[in-house]
Amino acid sequence: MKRKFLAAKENVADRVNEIAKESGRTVFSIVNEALGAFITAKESGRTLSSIIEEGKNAQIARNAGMILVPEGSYDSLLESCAITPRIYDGWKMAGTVFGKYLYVNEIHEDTKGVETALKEVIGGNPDVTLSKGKVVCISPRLGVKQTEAVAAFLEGLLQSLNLTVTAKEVSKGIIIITFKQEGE
Amino acid sequence: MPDKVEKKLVVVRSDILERIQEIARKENKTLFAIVNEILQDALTANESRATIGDLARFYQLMKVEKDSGAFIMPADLLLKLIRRSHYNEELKSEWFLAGEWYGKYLTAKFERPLEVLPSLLSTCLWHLSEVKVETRTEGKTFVNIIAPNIDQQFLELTGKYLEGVMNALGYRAVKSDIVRGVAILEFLKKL
Repeated sequence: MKRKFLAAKENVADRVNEIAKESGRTVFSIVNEALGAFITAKESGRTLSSIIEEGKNAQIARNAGMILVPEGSYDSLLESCAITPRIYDGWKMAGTVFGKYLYVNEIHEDTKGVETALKEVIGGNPDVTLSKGKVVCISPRLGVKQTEAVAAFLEGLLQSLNLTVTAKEVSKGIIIITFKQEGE
Repeated sequence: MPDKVEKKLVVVRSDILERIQEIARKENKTLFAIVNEILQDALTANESRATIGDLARFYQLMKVEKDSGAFIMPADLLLKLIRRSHYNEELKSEWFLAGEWYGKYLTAKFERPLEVLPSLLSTCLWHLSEVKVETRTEGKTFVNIIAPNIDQQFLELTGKYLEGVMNALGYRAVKSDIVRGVAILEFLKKL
């Protein structure tokens, strides 16, 4: 395997060197891994930092007690049991917990960060827009019951960030929630 | 005059470097700038106690799952749904079919789906502590699962789902031994 030299900022190279020592790896393997990951990201039309962010969000979801579920399996469960409002209370509670995790991870004040995190946890590859006083989620792949569940999840999340929901419109695949700061 | 940036040399694989040089040219950036950006990202990844390679692999596997229609939901809620459901053969059959669809999806996406399956299962089935896929002689494949924290019904449904996956990959279940947090599934290659 041919090797070549590459220039990097001294402070960055020094930090990589430290990490190599701490983790018992070589600088060569760390640098190659990072450059390789960058190429992989580029090939899938992404940036390395967006991949890191998504990975972090998935970790937040996992730590918040979430689980990855095959779409068909969830639908079959919904059909085989009586849906009660308590199910939606559960979704709302999950949103509250997730909101707290965003707070702990200092993402809650970063609008783009919250949007990315929501895209990560809401099924059906949604289009999520968070603007002043309004959150809009569009995902045509979501069924009616799933959309209602996601709406409850979003409501819980907003409440956990001290935002009061003032109106909510939910139809298959579309959620529009308006909110205001508590005390406004 | 801006301050002079102190530089250090690091060693890299020449084939990787050539690809990075190509990207830098296309993006009209200097090699120095692009490399520093990448290494800075690697340092950020390290802050969350992960290597950048792990995160890139995790992203790729999660993308496969999400593209297949999987979504994230609260685990306790899923358990509640399972407990409230009419737990019967019909429900198990639904999970089998969901798995079968996923197996077909993997077959369409990958040349050797059985090779990628262990990484997918251990990365994406968050409710399982350990998943091992082992192929032995005479077309036998074992899928062993350790999941001490999930209840029996959920584990059985997961077992049915995996039976569906394997069925689509050309394996029929010959043994399914599921008991308190441990599942041992045995499959035989279909003729």
